[in-house]
Amino acid sequence: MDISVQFKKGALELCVLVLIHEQDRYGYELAQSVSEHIEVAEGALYPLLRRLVNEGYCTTYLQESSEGPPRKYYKLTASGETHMKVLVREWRLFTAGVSKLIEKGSRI
Amino acid sequence: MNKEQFLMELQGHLSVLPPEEYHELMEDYEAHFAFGLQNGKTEQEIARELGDPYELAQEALRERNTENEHVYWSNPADYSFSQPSSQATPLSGLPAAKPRRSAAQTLAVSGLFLLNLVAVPLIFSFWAVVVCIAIAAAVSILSPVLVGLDYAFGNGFFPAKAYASLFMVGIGILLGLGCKPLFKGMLSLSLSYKNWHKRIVRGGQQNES
Repeated sequence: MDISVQFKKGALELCVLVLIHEQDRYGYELAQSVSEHIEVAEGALYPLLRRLVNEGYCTTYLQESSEGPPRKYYKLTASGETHMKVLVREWRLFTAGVSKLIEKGSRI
Repeated sequence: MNKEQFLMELQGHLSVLPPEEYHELMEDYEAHFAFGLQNGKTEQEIARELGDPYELAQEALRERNTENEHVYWSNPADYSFSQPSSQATPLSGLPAAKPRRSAAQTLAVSGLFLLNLVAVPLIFSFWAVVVCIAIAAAVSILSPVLVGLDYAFGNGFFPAKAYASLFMVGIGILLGLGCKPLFKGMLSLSLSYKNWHKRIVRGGQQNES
């Protein structure tokens, strides 16, 4: 698979997990929160969320709202939290490594 | 693109999914439009933010197929530049995908070598047996020709020989039929041994491709 696709996918997954960890959120809310920080095709969230649920990292529950359709909230499970921590750590290691490398390269 | 166009196009691309998944995703996107409209956006804006329906459908199909295949930010083995000499980060979730350490790797390869000393000749001898059976079948089927040659060289004609050769043809046909599954079996045995061998040598990293 194309490396940049892998990159964005991994980053999006990480962002979503962190946001859900903060508090339970519904799809549209997640899309808004992600878009605040990074540019992304918001529609890609839904297949991703489906996968996270299938893998047991999230569960969903419905909440009626006074207007509009019911909101499907996503809640992080214990294994989702572990997964998130692993990804965060790997992200930090990875970005730190890349930054170091770039720094080293630009000094020459 | 307005809501209807967006959903129609998505519908077309997603219809290959099982109905339950398809409906769930379509509901998600419809709800997304509803929430966006509530927040004062236009359908066009929302559709643009969602992205290209075709790409999204492709993504949905991909996500479906890559379940359990995680994107890892680091392959611990590749981290020498950030953590010199350390046995880097035991943090990948899948133990099976972790590359084996070099000592263990060396041991595994020497183990394989010893195993191969016996296994490879064994496999070859199995192949030899199968080939012999195939040759025996071919010769049995050709036995009337041999009887014909025998007659042609002036050794006289014996009905017993002719009947015996017919009998041999029968046996040859049966042997020949038996050869096909034998060949297939040996082929798959050899191939799976070869693949297993390759996996071990690479250090059990079959998940990376």
